Amino acid sequence: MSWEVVIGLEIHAQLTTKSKIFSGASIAYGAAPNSQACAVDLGMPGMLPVVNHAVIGKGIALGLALNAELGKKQVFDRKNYFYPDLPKGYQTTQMDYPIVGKGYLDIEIDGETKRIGVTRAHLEEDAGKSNHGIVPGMTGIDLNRAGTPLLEIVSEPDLSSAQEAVAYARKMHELVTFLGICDGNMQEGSFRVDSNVSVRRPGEPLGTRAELKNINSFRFIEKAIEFEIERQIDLIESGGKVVQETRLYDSETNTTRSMRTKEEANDYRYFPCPDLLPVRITDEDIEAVRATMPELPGAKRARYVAELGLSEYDAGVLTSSRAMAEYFEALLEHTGGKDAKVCANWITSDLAGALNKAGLDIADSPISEQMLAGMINRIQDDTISGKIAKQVFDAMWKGEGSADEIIEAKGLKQITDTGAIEAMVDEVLANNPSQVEAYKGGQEKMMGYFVGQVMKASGGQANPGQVNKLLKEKLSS
Amino acid sequence: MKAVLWYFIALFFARRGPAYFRGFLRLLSVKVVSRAISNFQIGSVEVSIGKSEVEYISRLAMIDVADDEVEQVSAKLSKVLDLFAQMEAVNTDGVEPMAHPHEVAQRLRADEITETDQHEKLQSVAPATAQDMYLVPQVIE
Repeated sequence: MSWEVVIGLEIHAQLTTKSKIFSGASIAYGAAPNSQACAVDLGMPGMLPVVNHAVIGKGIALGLALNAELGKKQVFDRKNYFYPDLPKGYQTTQMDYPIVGKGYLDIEIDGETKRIGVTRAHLEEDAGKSNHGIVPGMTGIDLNRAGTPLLEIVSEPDLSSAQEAVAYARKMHELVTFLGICDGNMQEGSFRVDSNVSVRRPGEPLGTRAELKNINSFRFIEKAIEFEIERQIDLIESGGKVVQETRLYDSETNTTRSMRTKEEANDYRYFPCPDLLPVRITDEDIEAVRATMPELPGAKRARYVAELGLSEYDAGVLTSSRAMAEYFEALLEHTGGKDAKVCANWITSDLAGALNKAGLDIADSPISEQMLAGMINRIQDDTISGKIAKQVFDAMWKGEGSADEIIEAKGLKQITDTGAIEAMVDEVLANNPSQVEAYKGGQEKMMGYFVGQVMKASGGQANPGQVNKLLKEKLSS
Repeated sequence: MKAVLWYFIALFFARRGPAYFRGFLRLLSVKVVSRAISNFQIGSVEVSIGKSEVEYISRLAMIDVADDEVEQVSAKLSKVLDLFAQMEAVNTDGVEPMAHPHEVAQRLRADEITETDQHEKLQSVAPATAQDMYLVPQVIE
């Protein structure tokens, strides 16, 4: 009998604000311990939290992008539990009135679109960090992260395989980074994915789920879920029972193992936070956010294919991040918008390759949009050939100046003087009588050889179109 | 524990006069009351808290309750729940639950860094610190 897999994801996206959700302390990553934890973050008596305007705007942006209902009235609640990295004894979060209500996100799986429901997304604060091994027998607490704004995005249990779960997580990652509400850095914990995995026989009620936490790469999320599905099926088929628990994934052994099972179910005793008034947002607030929202990746991709004639693949690569799309659009603009395909090719092949090799993000590219545009413009006005352009590209990458400076300094200007090319063609034909005979005897592939020889003689600078034309004329006469 | 919190909140509002107390009553939606009561699996009329509930609540609150105090505490907590049971009788049909007795919306703060590093001052009252971190008894992961 077959098994059905049911997965729901909880994604914590750290919001790209300057200050914390309830205080004016910085959220910059990597600061000295506790240098960014103020009295409000520490829950000192008499401190009053005040909601950061920016977190509301970022929440609205996500809600709009997910076609979700927006919480016109939001209420912050206290989720009570004790842990040393939670100085107040409660986490301030949104329980009954979250900022984002029901919405959805479409994912592509095996060439088909599947709509994944988003249950809700709510604003909350992050906790601090525990550090072990500083003093024997003690744990060191760094509260810099306490109060960092998070959006917890909860999906419906609509995902039915590890592949779908990862496709959804990637899509959400793409969305929040495109919106600029989260930097998406998984290594630094800015985008954390918790997976709730269960299995059942078709038609039966939901099985008991296990939660997989703290996995910081999409690849490992997929592997962890795959392992967990196998584990649960094996367990049930051998007569066992799945226990509701949190499990940790070990990438070394590619297995999941149980974190301590809680003695009793958590009782968080939620209640509205008396320190915070309800947040109300108006239609004007929503429209103000909508006006600043960028074109979303899905719409961009469709436009690149329909209006610019790019392939699905190129459109996908160019919209893989907001920085990439902005680079492409700037390049297109600086080259007069004439040839999107050429612009796309230079980005997806040469530039992406070089960036990848150097481990750089496109935002840190040593070749700016203007520089690359300068080079493409010289190809289009026949100053250089596409082949020579690769030399120019390498030189620009090494910081040798603009395309024009490099072409000038290295004397790379294409030879378009028909007389000069003709002389070279004549010389090549005169030096290769047997190949000429072969060509005339029907071996037309010899043409490639002649073109190669002429280009070599010209140091690659002859205009290939003219070379071809002249060769054909001479050989057919 | 929820009841204890509500108890203090109730006291707070009751002392501030009738207008506040009315606000508090509106604040108590049927949902909130029933949740508080269902936590202790008790009927809507007879309310009592036994030893095991006191132990459970004290564990959640991380407050030590000595064995000879249990009876006293359970009597006090039961009284609080009696109050809830009484309030549950109030007809709140069609009343929107309030999140706060003040009918005003939260004012928002501009996203600016206004705090400076004061960890030395803040840590001067901490029982133990090392390398600028607060030290607590080892948390076993």
